[in-house]
Amino acid sequence: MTRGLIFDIQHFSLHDGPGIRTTVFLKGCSLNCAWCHNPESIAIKNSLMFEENRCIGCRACETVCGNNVHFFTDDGRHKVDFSRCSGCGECQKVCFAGALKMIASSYDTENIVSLVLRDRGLYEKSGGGVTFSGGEPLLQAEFVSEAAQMLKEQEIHVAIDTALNVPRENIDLVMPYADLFLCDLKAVSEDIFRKYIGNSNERIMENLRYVASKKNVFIRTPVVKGVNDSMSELTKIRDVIDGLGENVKEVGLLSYHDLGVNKALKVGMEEHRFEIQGSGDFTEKLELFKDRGYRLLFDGSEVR
Amino acid sequence: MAYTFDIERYFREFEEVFSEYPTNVDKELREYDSVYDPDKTPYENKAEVYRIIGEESPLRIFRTAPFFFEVDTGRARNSVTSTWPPEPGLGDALMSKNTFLLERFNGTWLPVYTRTNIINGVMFSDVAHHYANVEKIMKTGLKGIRKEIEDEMESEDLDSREKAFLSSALISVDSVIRVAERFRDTLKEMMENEEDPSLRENLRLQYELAVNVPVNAPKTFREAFEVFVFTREICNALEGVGFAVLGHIDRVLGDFYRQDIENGTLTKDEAQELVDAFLAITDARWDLEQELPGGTNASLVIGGTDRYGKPVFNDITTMVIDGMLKHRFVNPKIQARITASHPEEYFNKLSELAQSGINCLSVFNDRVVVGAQIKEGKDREDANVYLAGGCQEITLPNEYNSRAYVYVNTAGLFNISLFPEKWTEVFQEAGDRIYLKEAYKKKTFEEYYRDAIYNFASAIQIFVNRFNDFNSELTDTNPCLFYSALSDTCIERKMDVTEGGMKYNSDSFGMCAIGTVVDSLFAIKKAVYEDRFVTMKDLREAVGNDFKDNEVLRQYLLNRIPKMGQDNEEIREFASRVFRDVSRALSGYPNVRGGYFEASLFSFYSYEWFRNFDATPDGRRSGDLLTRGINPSELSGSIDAATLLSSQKNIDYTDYPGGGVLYMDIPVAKAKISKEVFGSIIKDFIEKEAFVMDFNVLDRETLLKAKAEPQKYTNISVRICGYSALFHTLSENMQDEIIARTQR
Repeated sequence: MTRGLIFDIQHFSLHDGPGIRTTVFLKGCSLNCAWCHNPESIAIKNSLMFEENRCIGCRACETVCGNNVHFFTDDGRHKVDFSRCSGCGECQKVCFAGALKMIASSYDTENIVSLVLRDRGLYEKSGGGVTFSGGEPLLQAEFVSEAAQMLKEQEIHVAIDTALNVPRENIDLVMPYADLFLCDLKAVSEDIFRKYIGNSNERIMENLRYVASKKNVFIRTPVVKGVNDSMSELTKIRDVIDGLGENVKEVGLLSYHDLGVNKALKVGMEEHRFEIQGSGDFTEKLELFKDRGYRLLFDGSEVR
Repeated sequence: MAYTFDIERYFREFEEVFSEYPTNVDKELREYDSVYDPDKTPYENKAEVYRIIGEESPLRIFRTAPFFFEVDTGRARNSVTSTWPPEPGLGDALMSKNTFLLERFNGTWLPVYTRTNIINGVMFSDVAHHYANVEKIMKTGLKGIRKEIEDEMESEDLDSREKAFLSSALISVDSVIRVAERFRDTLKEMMENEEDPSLRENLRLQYELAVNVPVNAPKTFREAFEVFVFTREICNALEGVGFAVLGHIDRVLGDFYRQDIENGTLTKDEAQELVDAFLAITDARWDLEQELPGGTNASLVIGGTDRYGKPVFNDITTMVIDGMLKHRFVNPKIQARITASHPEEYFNKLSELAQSGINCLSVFNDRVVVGAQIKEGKDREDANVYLAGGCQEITLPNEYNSRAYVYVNTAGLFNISLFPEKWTEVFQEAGDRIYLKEAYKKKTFEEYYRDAIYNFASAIQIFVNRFNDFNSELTDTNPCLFYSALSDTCIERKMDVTEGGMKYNSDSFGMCAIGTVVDSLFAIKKAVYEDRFVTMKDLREAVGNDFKDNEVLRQYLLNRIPKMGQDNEEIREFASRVFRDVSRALSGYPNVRGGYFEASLFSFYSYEWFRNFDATPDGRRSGDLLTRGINPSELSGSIDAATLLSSQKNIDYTDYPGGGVLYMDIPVAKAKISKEVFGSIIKDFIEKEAFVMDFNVLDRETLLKAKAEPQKYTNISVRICGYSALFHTLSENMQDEIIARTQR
């Protein structure tokens, strides 16, 4: 039985594939997008998260921590030195208020499958299923593959929400059991990739073509002002999608939101805040993608 | 020419009439004073009310409407019920003469339980959630009912009480016949004098109806519809109690509709216009701009089955849903009964209604609701045609149900086991002797639990006795003879509905906060008896002290002890056990009408009213909300729709004939939720064998804007707890509570 590191399980998820779904979020990512909305998921190793507003100042964490991660200012405010944290999780055990939490928990495939099967009735009635997301779920491809296989044996629809920056063999492990890939297509230009995502685009593009040649694909593009929102970049994205063929069933543009900025602080990171755009800013951009044989969505709503 | 529903003119005309409500009825009340005789029976004294209304109360005829129905008896515009103190108007005239009982009820004992947040209620019997059995008029007309009474009066062995009952019932029917005749004559006169051709046509159509119904049995769809509308409204005007339930429209009118469509005397479009005009009555009558605690109560039942269990789904069902979708009325509530045998089209229509965000929909699971009535000993044929309203109170057409008139804090009645000394004194202060076991001294949880159930049942029995005592005098304050005449059994039994004339006579306390009870008992089980995290002494001290200086323990109880609704087999089984045992402790006590108290978890807004009750062992502080309906607690985190549905598994709601509501709040953000999602929720709800579900689709951002700028958002209707209201008319407190529900 393989174990996976999971940082969230979201029931009644309506925007990660068709129907009513449960989304399983796996920890660890091989990209480092500047606008990441789940910054706590990036590190592959499990680590601590601190929600200051839940802290009741009991100072139990201070006594159990061997690394002096937790300290209290003169006015009683709890501060966390994330750089000293070894991720042992002792403080979480004594924090009844839930201010300190290890971001992820380890599950074996049987656990996770039985948890998500709880809502089987809703999947069946709504044409939904289970989505593995992240982080980058394909970094834990063995776990995902095994869980997806178990779900397929139960005839549950499986979707993989991936940025595809993984070795081809990871994709192949999951491929037989996935009904649908939700693929990020964040940008096409290599300079954007290098500057904001910290990586090359080459492997991703190859993998995208590969996946789209084999399975149904939904493309998801976060649109961030000053990064990839120019008409020229969006046109490039559109053209790449056009080249992927008929398996692209849906394309969704997502407006940037800044929830990641605060989440980053809770795990001792800093994230740049980009400008939030109103839906009016998207009218022209959406025109680019209309009537091209796939369903077009903007922030989860169908655009006609 | 057919009737056309002109919504603007219709609402304008209703506004002109109802903005004058309540009209002055001093003259009629003075007349009543002169004939009221304390030495006569209450039947005879009530009969005088009918007589005055029959002869004198002004008729309000709406030229824009296809029906006649409104008799102005001086009742308030926004009124569902008579309560304490009695409301203005002739309907409550007798009650106003007999306030001694209500004064005694509200006198010394009740305030003690109100102050301590154990009981919330101002009446000792249900005065709001009734249903007037329109089918009897459909069968025989008022003439037939009159004859039934006359025949009964001929029997030789009647005693004086029975004679007074029957002769008064006859007066009630004659008074309504008199009202109908006056409608007929007035309509004729108005029609002849009306210059506007379309209004004249409406008056002519109404006059045509008045020539035959309700005196005779209806023959056509339009006549049957007239009887359907008229009966409920005249009962509201006459009786001084509220008839929340408009009726089971598609079942009752379905055959008339089919017949008229087949013989070509009606078209589908004409029928839709009539349905729309009927649906508009409540919104047009009420001043929805006022804050309406409890809402309008008006409830319309659709779907379900006939007496023999055959599913009802016809054009009328669809027309009701389409009418609500088209006009986005706030009322009436649509009480959709569902069976697994209903066609897919019905589920699709209901999904559309749920998705629309009108928030007028409750979904009833027939298998469970009917099953619960049968388990309680009611006949299947009767249970098959159950109705529901004000909020979701269940009633059968031949049942005098007394539900939702008093709310009891279940969590409070379990806390008494932690502090029996204190609570013995409280009961004593109210004049009640209670023997409470010292549960907290017990060595094992099983012993604690047994004692706690015993203490709970002891308190309930005290309340049962209290309420029975007052109910035994209910008939003195307000017998309802016309309502009785419409029942299948009252005339034959020669008993008023208030004294047990109906076939079924159920009672129930609305028990609030079952989720808090489950969580609190489980917290004691785990934290004290199993994990020994805290001693009973320390727990009692912390709870008794509202967890002051004990935040660590409180956080432990909140976050480390599994809660109802979570994915944990142990709490799931425990919840199922608590539900079963609570039901047993609530059931089976006889009431004074020959019926029994039934278990109910119907709790309306009492989770808020009781919020200042003492702290509870689940980590809830005084001031925090109790749990809503049958929902799990949201103190330690929000609950999504799938988890909410999953929390219903393994709980046997057929133990609760009085029902329990699952509040399904669906927050929507930018993206619209598809119809299919709502359909899936409805189907899953049925599969989980839950009782009734109340939909509330809420857009957080819009609500926040509506709170800030109410004048710009006057069309948002939200579901409070079994009733809908315009968001901008709610108190700030209630607006905040609704907004908080969107954080899921």
